[in-house]
Amino acid sequence: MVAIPVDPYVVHCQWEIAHADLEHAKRALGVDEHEYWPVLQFYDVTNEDQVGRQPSFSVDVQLGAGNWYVRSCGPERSYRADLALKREDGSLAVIASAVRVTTPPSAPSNYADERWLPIRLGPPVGFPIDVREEVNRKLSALYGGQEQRVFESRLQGPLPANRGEEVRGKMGEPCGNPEPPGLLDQLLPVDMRAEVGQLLTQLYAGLHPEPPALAGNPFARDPFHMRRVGGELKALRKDAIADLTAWNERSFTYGASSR
Amino acid sequence: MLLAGKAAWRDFNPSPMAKGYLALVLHGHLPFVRHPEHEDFLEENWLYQAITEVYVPLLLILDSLVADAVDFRLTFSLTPTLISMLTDPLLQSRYLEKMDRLIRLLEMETTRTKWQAEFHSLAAMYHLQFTSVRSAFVDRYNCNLVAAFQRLQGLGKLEIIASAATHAYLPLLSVNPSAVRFQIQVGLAHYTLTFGQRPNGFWLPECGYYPGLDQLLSDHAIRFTILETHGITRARPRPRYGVHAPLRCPSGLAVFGRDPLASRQVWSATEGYPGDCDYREFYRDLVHDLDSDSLKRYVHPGGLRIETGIKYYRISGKTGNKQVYVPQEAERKAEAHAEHFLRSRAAQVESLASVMDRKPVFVAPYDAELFGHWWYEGPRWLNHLTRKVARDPKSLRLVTLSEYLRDCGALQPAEPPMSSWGRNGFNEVWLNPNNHWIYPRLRRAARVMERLEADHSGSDSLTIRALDQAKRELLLAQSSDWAFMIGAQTSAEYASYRTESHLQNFSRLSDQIARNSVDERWLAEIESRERIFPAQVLRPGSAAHLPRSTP
Repeated sequence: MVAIPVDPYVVHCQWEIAHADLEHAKRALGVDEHEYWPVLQFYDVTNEDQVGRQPSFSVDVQLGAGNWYVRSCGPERSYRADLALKREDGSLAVIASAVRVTTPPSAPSNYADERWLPIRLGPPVGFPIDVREEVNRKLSALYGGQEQRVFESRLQGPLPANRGEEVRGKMGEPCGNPEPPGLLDQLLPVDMRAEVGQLLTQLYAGLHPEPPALAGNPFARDPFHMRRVGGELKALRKDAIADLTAWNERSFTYGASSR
Repeated sequence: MLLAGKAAWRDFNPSPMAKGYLALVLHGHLPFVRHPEHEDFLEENWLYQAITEVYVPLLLILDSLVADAVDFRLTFSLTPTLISMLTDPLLQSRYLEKMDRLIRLLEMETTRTKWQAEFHSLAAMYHLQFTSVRSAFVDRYNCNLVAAFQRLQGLGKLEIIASAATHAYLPLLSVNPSAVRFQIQVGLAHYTLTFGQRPNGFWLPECGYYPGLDQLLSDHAIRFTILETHGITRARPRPRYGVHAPLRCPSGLAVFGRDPLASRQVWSATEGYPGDCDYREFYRDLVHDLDSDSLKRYVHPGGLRIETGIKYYRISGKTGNKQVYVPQEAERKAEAHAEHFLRSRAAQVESLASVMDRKPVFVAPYDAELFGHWWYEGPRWLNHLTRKVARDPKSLRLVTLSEYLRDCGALQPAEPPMSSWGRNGFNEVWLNPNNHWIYPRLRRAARVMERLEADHSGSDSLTIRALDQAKRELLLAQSSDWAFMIGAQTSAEYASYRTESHLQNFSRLSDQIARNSVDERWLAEIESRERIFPAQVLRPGSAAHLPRSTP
C-alpha cells in the first residue's frame, strides 16, 4: 500500500492486495464475513518518541476501490497507515501497511532558530565543519580562554580594582596580576570579520582549487548580532523582521500559474 | 562559448548602487509530441504555435537588447522534451510547411479585408510578423533556436538551467527514488550533451518539491532551485527574510522562493496585466470564422479548427461584443505595465531596506508560454521592462540566480516542506480521481525497470537497445503533462492515449528482454518514432567531467 499526501489535510492511499494476504487476515480474525469490514487505520506518529498511546482513527473503505482519499488528516502530521479488516470489538487484522507519510504545513513555522551558513558555487562537498563551533573556538582563543559573554561584561562593567594600580590584600600584600592599563579604551584586539573569513578560507583552501565564494564575508550576521551595512553598523527593526514571512503569506495566492 | 561566459562573469558588477535584485525566470517546456506516422498531427501544433508566438519573438527581443548594449540578465529553463523537439529536423520542416500555409492564408486575408481598413491593417501586421518570424527562424537562427539560446548564455546574458527528463512531477514519483534519480540524471545528461557544460540550477517541474529532494539534487551537483512562495515561507525554521533571500537546505542546495506580488501582477487572471482590455483577445481566433475550403487549404487538411494565431480583436472587458485590436494602444499599455511592475518592485525594495541587512531578491518565475502565446504582448512588456531596469540601475538590477548566489553571502539554513505551484499549492492537480489510475502503473513499471537494469545491463547490443527504449517509454509515460491534462480534462483523450501507449510499449519491451526475444523490427519502428534521448544520455556519467556553466 502507498500513502501520499495530497495537501495538508488529505492523504491518498492506493493498494494492491494479494488474495492470500486477504485470506490470511480473515483467518486471523476468526469470525464470519458479516462481522468485519475493511478500514484504513491511521496512527498519528508525529510524536512517536513520546510515551503513551498514539492517537489513531479509522476510515471505512471499499477494498475493491483500490484507493481512498482520507480527509481527516491534519497539517504537519506524520501518519502510519494500515489497510485492515476490523471487528466490532475494535480488533484489527492488517492486510497491508504503508510507510510513514507526512502532510505539509498549512502555515509558517513558529520555530525560529537562526543560523547562517555560507553557500558556494564550487564543486559539491559536505560542509566540512560546524561553523558555530569553530567561531566559538576562535573567540575563545582570542579571549584567552574566557567565554565571550564574560569577556564582554568585563569590558563594559566596572573593574574590581583601580586601573593601572597594583591590587593589594588587606595586609598590603600583592594580590594577583595588575589589570593592564587602558583596557576599557581599547578596541577588540582583532577584526572578527577578517578572522572568521580567513579561518573559513583556510578550511576551504585544501578542498577546492577555486576560492570559496564567500571568503570575503562569510557571515552576514556576526557574533555580536550587529550588521554592517554600507560601512555603518545598523540596528535592524527586530520586531518587523519576522513579519516578512507572514507578509509574503498574506500576499500569496495558491496556484498563481498556468496550472 | 565557455570563455565568453567566463569573461562576462568577470565583468559582473554586484552593483553597489542597486538596492535590490530582480531575477526573471522563464520556464520553457512542452511535452514531447512527435508523430511521423501522421502527416498533420493536431497536438504537434503546440510546438509550432510556441515557436511563432513565444520563442522566436523572445529571441528577437533578447538579440535586440544585446545589439543595443542593454545590460540585462535572464534565467531560462529549457526542458529536454522542448529541446528535443526544437532540434528535430522533421518537426522543423513541418513547422516551415505550416508557416507557409499560414502566410498564404494571410495573403488571402489582406485581399479579403481590402475594404475594411482596421482589419486590413491587422492582416498586414500579421503578414509582416509571420514572414519575419519565418525568415528569422530560417536565416537568422538556422532553424535551431536552442543554439540561439546557447549563444546568449555564452554572452553571459542568459543563464539556462536544467530540468527533469520529461517534466515528471517528482513528489508523486518519490515512492520510487530510482525513478526520481533517473529523471534528474537524464535531464542533466541531456543538458550537458546539448550545451557542453553542466548547469548550476535545476527547474523542478511544476515547482514540485518534497523533503529529501534537495539531497538528490545536491548529489547531482545542483546548486539551486526555485520553489513556490509557501515552499519557502513554511520552511522550518521560519525564514527571516521570507522569499526575499534564498534558504540553504540541509544538503547545501539553495532554494529561491517565488515573489508573490511579482507573480500576481503578471499571472493573475483577475488582477494581472494580461487581462487588460487593450490587450489582444486570446480566444477569438480567425480559424473560427473560416469557411470549410479555406480551413482545409490553409489550416488543416482534415478540416480541424486549429488555432492560427491570427486574432483581430482585443479583450474589451467582460463582454461578448469584442472590439477591434489596436496594436499601438496595446504597445502603450505594455510599456505602462512594465513601468508599473518596476515601480512596484522599487517600492518593495524601499520597504524592505529597513528590515533587511542584505539586498532583497525578487524571483519572478513564469511559464515562457505566457509571453507571446497566452499574453500576446508579453515579449513587448519584457522588452520595456529590461530596458527600463537598465536605464535606472539605482533601484533594481537584473541578475541570474547564479550571480545572486555568488554575491549574497551566507544563507539561512532551513528545511522546506512539500509544495508546488499548482492549484491549491500541493499535489491535487496531478493526483485526483481523474488521474490517480496512472500511479500504480508507473510505480510497477519503475520496479520492473530496476530489475531489468540489474539483470540485463551487460547483455548483447540488441538487448541494450531494447533496454534504452524501455527507459524512453518509461520516462515519457512519467511526464506530468499527461496527468495534468487528464486531471483537468483538457486534451484528456490524447493524454490517456500517450500514457497507455508508453506503458504498453514498456511492458512489451520488458517481456521481450526478459524472454531474450527482442523484436528488432518493431524496436526500430518505435525508436524512429520517439527520437528523444540518445543512448549516451540514458547512460548517465559519460558527460560528468564537463565544466560547470558560468552565469
